[in-house]
Amino acid sequence: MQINGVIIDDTFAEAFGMRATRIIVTAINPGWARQAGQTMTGFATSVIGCGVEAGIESSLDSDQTPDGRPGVSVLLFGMSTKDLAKALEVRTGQCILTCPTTAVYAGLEGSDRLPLGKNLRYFGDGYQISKLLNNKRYWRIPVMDGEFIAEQDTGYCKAVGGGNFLVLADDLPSALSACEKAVMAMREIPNIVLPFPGGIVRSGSKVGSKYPRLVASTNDAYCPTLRGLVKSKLDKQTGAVLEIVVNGLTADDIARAMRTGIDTVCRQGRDKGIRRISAGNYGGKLGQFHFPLHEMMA
Amino acid sequence: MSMILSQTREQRGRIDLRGIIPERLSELDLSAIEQLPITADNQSVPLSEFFSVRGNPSDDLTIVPGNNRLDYIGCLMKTGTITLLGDAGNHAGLEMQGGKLLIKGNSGDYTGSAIQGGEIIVQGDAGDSVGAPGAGMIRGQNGGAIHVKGRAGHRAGECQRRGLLIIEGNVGDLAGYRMIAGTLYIGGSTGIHTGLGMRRGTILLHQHASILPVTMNHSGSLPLTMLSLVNNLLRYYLTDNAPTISPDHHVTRYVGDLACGGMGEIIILQ
Repeated sequence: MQINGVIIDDTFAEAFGMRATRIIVTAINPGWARQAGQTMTGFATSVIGCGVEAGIESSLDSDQTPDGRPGVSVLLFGMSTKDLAKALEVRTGQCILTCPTTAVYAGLEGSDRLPLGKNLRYFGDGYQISKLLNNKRYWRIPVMDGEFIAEQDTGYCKAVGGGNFLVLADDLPSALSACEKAVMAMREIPNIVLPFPGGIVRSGSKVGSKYPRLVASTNDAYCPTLRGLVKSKLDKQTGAVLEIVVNGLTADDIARAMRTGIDTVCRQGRDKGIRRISAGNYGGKLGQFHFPLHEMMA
Repeated sequence: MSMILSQTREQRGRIDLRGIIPERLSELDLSAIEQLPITADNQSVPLSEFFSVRGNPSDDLTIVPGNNRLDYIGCLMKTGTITLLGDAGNHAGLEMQGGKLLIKGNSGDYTGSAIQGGEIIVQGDAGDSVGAPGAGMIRGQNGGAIHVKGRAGHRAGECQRRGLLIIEGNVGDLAGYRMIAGTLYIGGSTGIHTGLGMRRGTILLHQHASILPVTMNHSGSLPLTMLSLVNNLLRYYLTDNAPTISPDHHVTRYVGDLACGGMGEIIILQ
């Protein structure tokens, strides 16, 4: 299969089940809201080392938030409810509570809930105030710039993590430029985040390592410098490979994002140095969600 | 079509309409409804002695014409709607748990007393002790919403524990007296000692209070993000009359009652 001269490999991306939650962070202006969101989602690229994967889903205008201030929507993904709950509490406490002017609210409804302000309220040292409005409980925690408002809890749901595709290009600038455009297009899609720096990964991994302690190691088959040394999947003209990883609330959300991303990359075409689109999979052993590229792009 | 109770004969004293609630009436036919016992002039009599019943049994009940000696309308109501096309007596919506009670006139004392849930709207004025505890009770309003579009008497929101109480007009003395928690909004002027004995909770005043208890301390003028959340609720009830509260709106805040822990607050929006 080819799109605009770009070869689409007959393979599939392999993703796995996760748990996800969404929170709404507001602040006095869009800058501080984004600052809080970025701080909270920093060091949250992969569950392998960070315990949680997270990103800013979208920016919100003041008429889209509970308190009428600008905000951001943040999605967090964990491998288990327990991991997610822990990460949510720690990150909200260290990154949102500490950030000037912020407040945090639930972003998902439903009966499955994770504590948000429920535990953070104790920072108020007894001066915290509960407010029950419209059957939602909020905590008002006194802080030095006024009050930190945190909703009691937020919803969580089953989700999908690890949707991905690889962009194989003549050289690094071509791959990077195409991926940047793909990330911009994908970030318009709701219910997904691209947890890696700028939405792009250069260190795609394979499962396992020659070192027993490591659960993942470099994806040697796609490293240009290892061509000739290992069983490479790169032809001699491929100078660089970048990966875009996407987590979403549902498999459909991931498929929509991948389609948009691949389509954007392919629009750059062979003329702009894009050679192939492939995907990371582990032979179907790791995850129950498969995204066949040919089927998706047909 | 809703069910309509029309009063056909005027009572000498008071009528106690306890038990005449939609969830009960909707399960009965008209003849059975007519035989339901009510207390009128201190005697138990069938409903048909004072009211004619027409329409279909449903969870939508209208009472006409209403007068200020019809007590306990909507008492313990859980679902449905009662519309009273006139005044109500005392204890309207006592311990109501759900549904909606719309009083298109004035209501007497103890309106919404110890309400647990649901919604009471009084289009006129209300008497004393709106949302207060009933006789022998410890807690007043414990959920739901009471909206009085006119004035209210003394002790509005006494021992309020939860929920939203809105008085658009003036109130008498001791509004929020011994308040435990919840939110009380007063659009008009207040009498003396607003918030006396309050432990927690929020009293929002659209105008400056006359005399606050000496145990309420001034806490400064500052913006409160929480007010935007409260204002979302107020806008639902007050529509065009809702106060304008932007996120950076500075309000005057008093904390207290310091004699009772001091975790309550009186916020003056102007």
